[in-house]
Amino acid sequence: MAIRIFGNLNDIVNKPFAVDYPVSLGTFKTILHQHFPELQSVSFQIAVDQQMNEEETLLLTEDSEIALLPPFSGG
Amino acid sequence: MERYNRQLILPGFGKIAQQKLADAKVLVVGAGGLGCPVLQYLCAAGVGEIGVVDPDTVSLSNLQRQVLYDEQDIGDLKVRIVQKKLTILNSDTNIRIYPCSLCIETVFNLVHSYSIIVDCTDNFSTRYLLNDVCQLLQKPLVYAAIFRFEGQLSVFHYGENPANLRDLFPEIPNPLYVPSCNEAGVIGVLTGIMGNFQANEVLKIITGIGEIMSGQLITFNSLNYQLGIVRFQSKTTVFKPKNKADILNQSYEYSCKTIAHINDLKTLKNVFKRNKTVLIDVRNTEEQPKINGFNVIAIPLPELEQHLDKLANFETLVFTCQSGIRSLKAIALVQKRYPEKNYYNLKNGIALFTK
Repeated sequence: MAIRIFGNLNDIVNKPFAVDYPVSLGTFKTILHQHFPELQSVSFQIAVDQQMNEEETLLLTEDSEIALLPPFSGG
Repeated sequence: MERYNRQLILPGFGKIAQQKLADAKVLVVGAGGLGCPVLQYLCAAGVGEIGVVDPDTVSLSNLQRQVLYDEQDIGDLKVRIVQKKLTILNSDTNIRIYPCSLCIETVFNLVHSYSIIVDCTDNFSTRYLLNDVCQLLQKPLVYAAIFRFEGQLSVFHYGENPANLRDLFPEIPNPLYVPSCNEAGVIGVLTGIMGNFQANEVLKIITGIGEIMSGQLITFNSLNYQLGIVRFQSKTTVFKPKNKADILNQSYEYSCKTIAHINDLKTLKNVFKRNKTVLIDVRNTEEQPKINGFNVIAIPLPELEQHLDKLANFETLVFTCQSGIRSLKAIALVQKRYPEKNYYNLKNGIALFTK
């Protein structure tokens, strides 16, 4: 599974972590938060295969492409 | 039509598209890093009317990215310089200027008067307010934002499956965790690239050529040229205003309901007539100029959390930084510890003492 991390999330999700596939999106989020507790206070959305997704039961496989996207404000 | 010859001869363009540009009314909110290229390219292409909103004056640190301005312009209102320079660029374009912040009193009339809105702002409060007003009035909103070497772009409230900022990011993010350009840094070419992406979307919407990035978030990384598209859809679970009152009742300052903003020296002096008042400067120690004449405690924002005890005995806390954004974060942080104190923010930061 490829995970692309955007913006300031790179400062938080900054080391490899293990996930056993297949895994539901909900469980993936829990694992992510366990490894990186600072994420609790940050706003971000998850895209699966180039589509924003909040369906907790969605099954992620090794082929899934995940993106962690925070909002930007600069201009 | 000699002026527009090079675009008139493009396939799918022609005189009809050029006339659409001449008839178009575009509102550009923010005349900074994103706004400058948007304004220049829309004016050059022959957009008939451009409105520009920005309360700020030109400062030296703007010049590395805000390419409409030069050293002669420092201290002048940005919108006045925009009007002057764009009128020289293309006298066919009518430039309307609004030297003010986008605020709840004026935003409805302003947005109503234009057909396309471009979000070139630098803060979440204005971005969400503009998004909600454009949702209510059903105006296409061309959005871009940047962080360090990365940019995002989308078009809201447009086409068959319109989606908007709240469908992407439902709530106004806590500014405490999202650094502004003043803290995160910004390189001029990236605001130039993303601003040009915005101008491109505006020209496509007006002329009807190409595919509009509605329901799609474009991500761009200037360090490795990774360009991505993420699709998203309208959600029923997020705030969608049905009338003006819905917006008026909404808070656009993250956890800032009890903060008063100060924008002039007289008001600041009046606040200091109260007992137990202190001015907290959260800039880094090397930032200039220093503040004189008030009871100042200097605590850089990264160290603030360890020094909250220093504020225990004051009742009224006035916060400042360079531009008024870090100070808001400071307030959000201090409010957690001392929710009952009085909070003031110097709206435009240190500029209060220098103008």
